[in-house]
Amino acid sequence: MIKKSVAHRVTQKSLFHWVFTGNLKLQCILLLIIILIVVARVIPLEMQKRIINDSIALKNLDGLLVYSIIYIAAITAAGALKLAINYLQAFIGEKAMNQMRKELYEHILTLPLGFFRTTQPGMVVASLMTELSTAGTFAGMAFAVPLTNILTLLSFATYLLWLNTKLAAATLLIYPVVVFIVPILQKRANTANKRRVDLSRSTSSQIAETISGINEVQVHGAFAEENRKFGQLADELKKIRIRWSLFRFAIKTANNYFVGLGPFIVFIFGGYLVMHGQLELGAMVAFLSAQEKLFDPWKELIDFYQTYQDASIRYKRTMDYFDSPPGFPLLTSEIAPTMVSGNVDIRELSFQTPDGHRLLSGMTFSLKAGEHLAVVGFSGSGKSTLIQCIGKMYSYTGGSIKIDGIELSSISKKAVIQDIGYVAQNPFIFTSTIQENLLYARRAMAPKKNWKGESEVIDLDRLILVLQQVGLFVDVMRFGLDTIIDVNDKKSMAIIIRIRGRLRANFGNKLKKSVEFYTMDSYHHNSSVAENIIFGSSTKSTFSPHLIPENKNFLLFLRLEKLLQPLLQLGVILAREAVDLFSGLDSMDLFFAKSPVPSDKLNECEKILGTLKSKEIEGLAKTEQTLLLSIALKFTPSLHTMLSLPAELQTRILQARQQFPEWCNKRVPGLFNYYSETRYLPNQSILNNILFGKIRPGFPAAQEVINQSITHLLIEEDYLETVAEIGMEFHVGNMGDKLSGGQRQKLAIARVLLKQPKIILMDEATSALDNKSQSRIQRLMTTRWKDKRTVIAVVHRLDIIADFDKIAVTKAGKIIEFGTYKDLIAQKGALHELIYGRQ
Amino acid sequence: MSLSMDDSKQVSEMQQNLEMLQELAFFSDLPVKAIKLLAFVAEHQHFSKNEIIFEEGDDYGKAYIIISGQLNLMKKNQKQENVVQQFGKGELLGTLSLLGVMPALFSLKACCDTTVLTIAREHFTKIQVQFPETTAISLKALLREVYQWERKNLTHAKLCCLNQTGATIL
Repeated sequence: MIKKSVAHRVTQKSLFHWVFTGNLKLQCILLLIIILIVVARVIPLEMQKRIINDSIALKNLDGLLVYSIIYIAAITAAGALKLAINYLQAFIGEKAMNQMRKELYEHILTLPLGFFRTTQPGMVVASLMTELSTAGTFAGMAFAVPLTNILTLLSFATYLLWLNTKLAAATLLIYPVVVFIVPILQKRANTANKRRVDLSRSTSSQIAETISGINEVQVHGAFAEENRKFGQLADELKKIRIRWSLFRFAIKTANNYFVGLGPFIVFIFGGYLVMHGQLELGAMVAFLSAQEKLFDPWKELIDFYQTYQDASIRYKRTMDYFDSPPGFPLLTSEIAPTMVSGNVDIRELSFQTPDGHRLLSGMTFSLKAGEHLAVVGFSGSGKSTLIQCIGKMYSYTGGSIKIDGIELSSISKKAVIQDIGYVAQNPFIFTSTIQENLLYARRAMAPKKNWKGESEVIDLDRLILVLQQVGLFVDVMRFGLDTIIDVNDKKSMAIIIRIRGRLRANFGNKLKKSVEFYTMDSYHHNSSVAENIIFGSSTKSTFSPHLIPENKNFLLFLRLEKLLQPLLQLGVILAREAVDLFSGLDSMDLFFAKSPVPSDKLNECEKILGTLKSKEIEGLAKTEQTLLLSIALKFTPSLHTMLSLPAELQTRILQARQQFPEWCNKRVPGLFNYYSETRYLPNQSILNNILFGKIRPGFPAAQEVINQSITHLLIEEDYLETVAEIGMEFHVGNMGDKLSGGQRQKLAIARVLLKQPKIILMDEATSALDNKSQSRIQRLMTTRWKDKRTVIAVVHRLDIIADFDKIAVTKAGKIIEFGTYKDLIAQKGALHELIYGRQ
Repeated sequence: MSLSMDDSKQVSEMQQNLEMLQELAFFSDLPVKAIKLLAFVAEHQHFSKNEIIFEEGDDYGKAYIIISGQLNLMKKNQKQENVVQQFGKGELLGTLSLLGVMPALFSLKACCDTTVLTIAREHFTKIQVQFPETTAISLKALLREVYQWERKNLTHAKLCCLNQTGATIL
């Protein structure tokens, strides 16, 4: 059955498909329960009549008991059965919706890229999550609700007819009237509903667009414009929703009104019949209560009718929207070609967008396997479109692309994915670790079975090699070194301390210019006053340095060491400097990086300085003193250049440092691990532990020297791979926002490299790289890929194209020059002009 | 007991920076508060011999004031690199890059151990926003620079190179 549905697109399935497919057994059980419930519902009516007519009238106590017990049993059974129906209904509904969502999602992912140019992610989200849920609810109801209620209605009606034909016929006459009026109202509600679905879709698209472009919006201050656009849609939505609700309630009201007429007829007509002895009183009571009971199934039927209308509109609107054939059949019957060698032959290639825009026209060129082509040209000249066509991301509309002599359109997407690697200019990085991102392309190619099970093992050496090739290894090592290792990992700690010692011994002299090492008896200028006093790192991960100024014990210690007063004074001086620099200015956040006074405390500082004109520091409020102290404790001479630390205070802080361990251990033993060359600094990064000091600012080259020295030692200690592994676990943040543009591009290139494709397409893939990384990739291309992998690269920077075998210059969708760099330069044509300007 | 901090106050780094900036024509006319802020965010950088500060094509976005040592401006020609100009103690370079994005046409190299004071474009831009008069002042300073530079060139340049001049009539 599943096989069959593949042929049919999910978007073309009818709403009723979901009701029965895969639910047949459940629906049968449901049917059985429904029949039982109908019976259980009719019984109380008959019992009612018998209790009044037989028992009460004839004073038959036994009969009364028996009838009452049957009555209560029937009601209980009806309740229990109703619960079962609801459960089954919900079950079927959720199952159907789940299936619907999954299939539609699968379908949406395969839609052609062009589709997503005009579709906002928010719209897809709304469709999948909101619009389909009514359809799901309906799928659960579709069988059970109408059946239960129609059967109930019929049996009640039959029972009434059996009781008294005339009266029954009179009361039942109401229903045809309702059946006539409701659809008329419903039709108008539907029109409003359709409009509402479309409008909510545009509104969510609008929201999504604004939010994704929030940078632009804020930069240009386009708040009014965005509010206007949104407001317009929201207003229209409001209007249409009111209209829709009006009709929905009109239906309910009309229904209630007409059905409410039932008892009226029973009283008038039934009363008349009772008076004339043509109807028993008991029967009339049964009639009245049946009337009431008729109302429930009827109301449910009307509700159902409304849900059906609503669901089918939403369903149809949603499915119609996504109803286009998948971009490329993912699996074709044809088997993937054996090992592509990478010859590319393009003849008269053209590409036209659906709206008639001609992006490529008549491009012709060919590349032998392993040749490298640089595509250059003005923006909008079709460079990206060309390689996206070769990557089978868009299907070309004319001409031919042949890979090893086989027409691209007849090669399955799967084979293309395997043999052609594509690196985008702004590659998408997933919210995950570096490793996951690296393995993404590989994972996707793995057979489906493996998805959930053990992930494919790619050996670490290969990952490291690829990272080195693209120049990301240094960054990964950095991430690894910046990690804090678990406090229980004693083995690693021992290794790291060993490396620390060797770094000092082997590279200490080379590094001492750019690294300020920790030494017990000298002031550490790259650390704050607080760090200089404590001179240790906390063993508790919950310890937070910014709470120190409030800590009573710590204040006690400062007082004891006669440091409190001088530090408060230091705080005042720093506050004065900051106020002097920043008062009257706003949005200077960038500058506050070098100020010990945070930008949000500037006003408070100003106030304190005002107070100090007439008062002593002791006269300040507690919180004000805390603020001054926190500023002083944060003061780091090498960073906060507004003041140099007085020598006398330095000496006193160093004295306090000597006293602190003993004093603190008396109060909270083991809270800190005091800096000592042989002790690990818990809750500090691996790098900090190896360096055992801090890098001085203003040495741009320091990082590289340190990296080299540390890498050297890590290799010797056989710890490099461990750090690399830790580094690959680095979480890149939301869509990679913790990575720089260059790092993202390198990661994307590495991702493709792991796949080892025969043809590599690069769309300005190195545009965000600095010179050094750029030449590294360049080197990789010339030494490793030449003659092995075919490369087609859209290149922005013209200084790197000399190394390519061929250059294509594009203009307005055409190739206007094609040849070797030398020839084209000699020719003094378009390429020459691009590089040297018009002469 | 209290420390007599105000008396024993050594000259802070910011103060030293400020004195240096005030001696430079490009900065000296700026509002006092602006120049003080620049002195505050200016950073020292140290380069060792032969260290490359920026390369051709980099948008370095910084002005450099040489505190000690010497910097060489280099231009690559074919495979060979030539020294175009030398900058010594007290000299300022890179002011144009403070005003906007500009890929370097030269590379800059330390010819011995050198310390510089740097001002970054992002900081300078912030100052321009806070003190709008800055833009006009730096433009004037720049104009003066260019004028003098071209006048010098015109007197020294050989006849063959005269057709390369004319920056002042741009």
